Amino acid sequence: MSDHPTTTSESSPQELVPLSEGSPPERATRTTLRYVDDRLGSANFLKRSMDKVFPDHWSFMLGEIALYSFVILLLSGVYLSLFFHASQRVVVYDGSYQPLRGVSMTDAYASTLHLSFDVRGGLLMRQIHHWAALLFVTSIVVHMFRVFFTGAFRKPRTINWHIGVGLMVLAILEGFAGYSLPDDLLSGTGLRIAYSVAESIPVVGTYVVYFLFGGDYPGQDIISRLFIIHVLLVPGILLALISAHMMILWHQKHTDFPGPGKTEHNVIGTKFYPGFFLKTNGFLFMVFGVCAALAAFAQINPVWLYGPYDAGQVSAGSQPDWYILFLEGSLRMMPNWETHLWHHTISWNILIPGVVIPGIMFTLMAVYPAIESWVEKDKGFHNLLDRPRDKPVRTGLGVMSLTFYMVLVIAGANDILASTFHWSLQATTWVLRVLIIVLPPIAFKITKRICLGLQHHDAALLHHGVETGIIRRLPSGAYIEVEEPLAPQKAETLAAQIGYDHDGHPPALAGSTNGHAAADGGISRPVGALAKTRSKLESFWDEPREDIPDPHVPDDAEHH
Amino acid sequence: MVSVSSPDAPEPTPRRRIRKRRIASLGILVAALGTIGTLYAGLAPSGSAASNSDPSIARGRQLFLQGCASCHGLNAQGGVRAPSLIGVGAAAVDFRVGTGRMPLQQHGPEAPRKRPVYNNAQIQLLAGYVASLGAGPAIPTNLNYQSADVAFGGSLFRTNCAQCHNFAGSGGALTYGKYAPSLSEATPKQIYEAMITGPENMPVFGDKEITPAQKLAIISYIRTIKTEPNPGGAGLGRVGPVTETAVAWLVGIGALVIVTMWIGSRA
Amino acid sequence: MSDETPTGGQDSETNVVDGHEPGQPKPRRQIGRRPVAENPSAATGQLTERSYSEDVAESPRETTFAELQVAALFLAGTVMSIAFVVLYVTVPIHHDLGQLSNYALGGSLALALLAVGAGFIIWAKKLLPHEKAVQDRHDFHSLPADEAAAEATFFQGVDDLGLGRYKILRRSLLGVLGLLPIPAVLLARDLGPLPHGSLRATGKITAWKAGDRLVDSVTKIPYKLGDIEIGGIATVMPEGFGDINDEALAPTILIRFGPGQIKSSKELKWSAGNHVAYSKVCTHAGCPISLYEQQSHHLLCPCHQSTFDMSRDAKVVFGPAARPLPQLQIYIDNQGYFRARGPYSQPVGPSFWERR
Repeated sequence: MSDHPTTTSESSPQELVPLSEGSPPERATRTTLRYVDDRLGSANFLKRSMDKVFPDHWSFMLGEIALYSFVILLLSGVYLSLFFHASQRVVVYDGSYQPLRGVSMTDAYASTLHLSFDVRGGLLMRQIHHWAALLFVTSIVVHMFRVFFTGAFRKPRTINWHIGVGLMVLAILEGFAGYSLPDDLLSGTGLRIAYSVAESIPVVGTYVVYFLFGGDYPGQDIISRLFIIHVLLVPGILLALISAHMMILWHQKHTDFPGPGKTEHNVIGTKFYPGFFLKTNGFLFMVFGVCAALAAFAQINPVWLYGPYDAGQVSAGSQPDWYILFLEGSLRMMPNWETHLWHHTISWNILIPGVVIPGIMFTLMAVYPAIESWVEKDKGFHNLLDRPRDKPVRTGLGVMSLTFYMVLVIAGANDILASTFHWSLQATTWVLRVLIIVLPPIAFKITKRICLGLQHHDAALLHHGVETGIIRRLPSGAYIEVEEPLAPQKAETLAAQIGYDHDGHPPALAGSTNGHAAADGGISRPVGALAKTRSKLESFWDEPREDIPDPHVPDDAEHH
Repeated sequence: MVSVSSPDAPEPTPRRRIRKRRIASLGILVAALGTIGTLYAGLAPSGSAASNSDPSIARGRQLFLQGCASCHGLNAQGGVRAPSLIGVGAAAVDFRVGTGRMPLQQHGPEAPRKRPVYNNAQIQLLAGYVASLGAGPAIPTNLNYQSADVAFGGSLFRTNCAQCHNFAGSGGALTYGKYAPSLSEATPKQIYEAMITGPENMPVFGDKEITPAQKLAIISYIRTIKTEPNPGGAGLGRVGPVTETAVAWLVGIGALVIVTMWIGSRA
Repeated sequence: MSDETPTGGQDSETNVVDGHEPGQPKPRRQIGRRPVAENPSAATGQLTERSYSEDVAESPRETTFAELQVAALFLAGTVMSIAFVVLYVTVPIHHDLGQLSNYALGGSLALALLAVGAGFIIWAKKLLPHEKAVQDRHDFHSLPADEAAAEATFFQGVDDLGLGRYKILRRSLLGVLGLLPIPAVLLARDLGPLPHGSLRATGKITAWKAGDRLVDSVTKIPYKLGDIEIGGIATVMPEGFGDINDEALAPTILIRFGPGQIKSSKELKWSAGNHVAYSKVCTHAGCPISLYEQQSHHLLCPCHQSTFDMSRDAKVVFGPAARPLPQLQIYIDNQGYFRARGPYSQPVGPSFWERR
């Protein structure tokens, strides 16, 4: 059946089917389509959209987790907002949760308790919302790993990378605003720290927090202000940016991994309609289902246990949601530096971990595509992805950053670790302080080494084939291991991944790893400090590929 | 079985709870004799405290000499390894021995809770003997916490207890390897005793600071949240967002990545 | 750049799955622009080729089985949706704090959603034709001629607007554009008070003033000498405080030491009857801090683990806090009550720019 006659969309234009033909639903559909087309001229767009091809690799669906959790967040969030009172008016709780009856609390907290205990399905919706929020940020981060390590951020997709970084930052802000709303003891502690971080900004810090909180912490305004930020301002921007993200994706078509038949100029996969449409909608339900399952069986943010916020109270193990944990960790690890100058105080112990480090992290993420293309002089378009191993320096830098980030996250839970494993809290912190400096460079070195090793392994596989383990004695008396060549299809895939063309010619290496140096008009001598820096960086970036022998030229050994 | 096998390093600060130290002249004599006895590495117990007529105290002292005296001194006067027990009261003994923290197995930043070495009757004898050495908090009785104000207890708990023991009594880290233990296994009596005696590094909450009624309210709150179900499903250890993080990554994203692989796979 | 592209047209032609022209070495990645005009199908991004590499489930039996699978999942979804309705009505919400209700509603909803999702996916995987569609990509930039035309149009417009020629117009426009945002900025002014006054004086004004009795933050009962045992700690507020959140900087801890345990003479001087009072607000990030170890006299912050030695002027012994906790000078009145000698002598809580 593989020789099924191919159907081509370029076939001669068909006659319009008369509206009188076909079954009633068919007729209704045709009528609607023609009604819309008569007014919008939509048929061509519709046709092209339905024919849009999406590649099949599983990792291309990670972003969809984020998209669908956002949909779930909108739906569940609207429901929650019907019950939540964004007010810091003090009330006395008289709902059904006995251990808090008669306790003074803000209306925000009381309405959250009411929603949790006295609305059928209210707790479920709260938990769906919170789990979906964790999945939202988590999937954004996982999606970004995929995009980064495969080089999908390169031209022409740099704008979408920048939008993605913005979406991630906004998602973190949105999450923080959201879990601060119930005004429980834990969220209040988080807000207290956020206040202090903003307050530490030199010159304007106190003004910023006074305007944000309406005066001294906590004031009477922050919950209602966070509410409007959480339900209107940030979601509005998120919605706009997600739309832009999707439209650009739609316009540019998805990237794909190299493989047989795949070139920079085609996409191979499933058409949007009906195949991809069906799968992706199934996935929407799966994401929703996983959120609902988590919400049904795993308790999240039990605000009734935390108690209402009280400036005199705190709980051991005060942690934020995971996406803020890196900030918490950097605050915990920071040495206690503070400068007093000319009647002013600069609080480095908050400023650096709370403002400078996240600022540098997000800025580096945003500018990385520009740095890489500048260093590699890569001005070309890229629709085919890199395998991480083929870009040892990029992969190494990614793993290095990830290691740095992971140490921060772990430091954010240092007290939980200490009490769980009965370690010394202080020793744990000191170990992490050392690790955050020592570990990232080691991670870079090791990752690069692994990448190069894998490259070599691939080349050997293609070149020598698979080691069979059979030892044969040659007439000369020498022993060799019999090697079997790869199956043709596997070999072809591997060759495409490594970057051989279809005839087995090795990848172009001139000038830079991907052969784009010439695109700028030939190799020129570095002039000026900037150019010299670039040149130095380039030699750092361009780990020469392990020499890959041409697979089609037989190896000497096989002739013996 | 009741002997302390491993040597203990000195307790950091042995001057705990020496409040209301009203040592009778007999007590001083006892201590002096005991010190001399220790100094000369005397083997035979002097039997000087046997002048106390109550036979149960004598039996308690016997247990003490077998299990505790090697560190706390022959007459509980303390030593380089362990603090004096004169004036700590029966409640302290009942708590420490009743939760298995004493006798110590090995010295560390924190004495861990373990299976008690002594049975209840023996603990009462030990407590009686230590109480006879000097006045101290007695073992509380009739802890009728069921009728206490649970919500008020919650407020007190969050102000005075949650900072170390966590919002749900799950415990937490202190400095240099010390930790506030989980309250999940603590009985109402033990919670009460801990508050009035301040074991190890725990502050003392005397009856004038937190009245007995308020202590019962705190116990009521701890018991309530301990026994109440987690309405949202698995409690995830009740330690806050750290375990939620693990679930989101391992279960949530893990499951969805498996689904993407299923969707992306052929046939 | 476009000259680097092999212009043989082999790229712009229809791509068959394994199609390439033998003997034509192709670079791994395409550089620069391609002549779009030569490739109408690429320009419109239309599907140029669709081939079936595999087929639908081989036998009708398999197809039927797959159909049954999907139908069974949809049926399960239906059943679970109905179950949700039934459970919503029948399960009492207050049973086990609502745990049963959460299990019932969440479980049925999750199963319904997962069943429908799995049904869709199996439907797509087993019943749809296994196509391997190939589509040309179009380039993301315009033809040089189009780009040139767009730029020309834009600059012609600039020229027509005459921003270069009409100088007064230009300057007045800049003026009004510069001033228009000011109303918007001004409107933000009343979001909060200005901080300057309270910061520059002796520091942030907490509610503490001379003669205030130290009352418990929960019970509001004033503390007397002897209420707190040695090694005890209490959270106190100035007498007459209302809602603690209105006085978030005022929470103070009252610690009782044993005789001779206070190591600092200044601390001793500000103490009363071996009792000392310190701000409860951490000087790092402002968490209320009261993990007090009565033997080591360490006070630990649960947020970022700053550790203070309370027997030595609350000196920082570990962690990110830079300054000791401010001490509140106290005395015992003739009735035995603890009272504040005066307000805090320095700002409490985290550092800020205006702090001296």
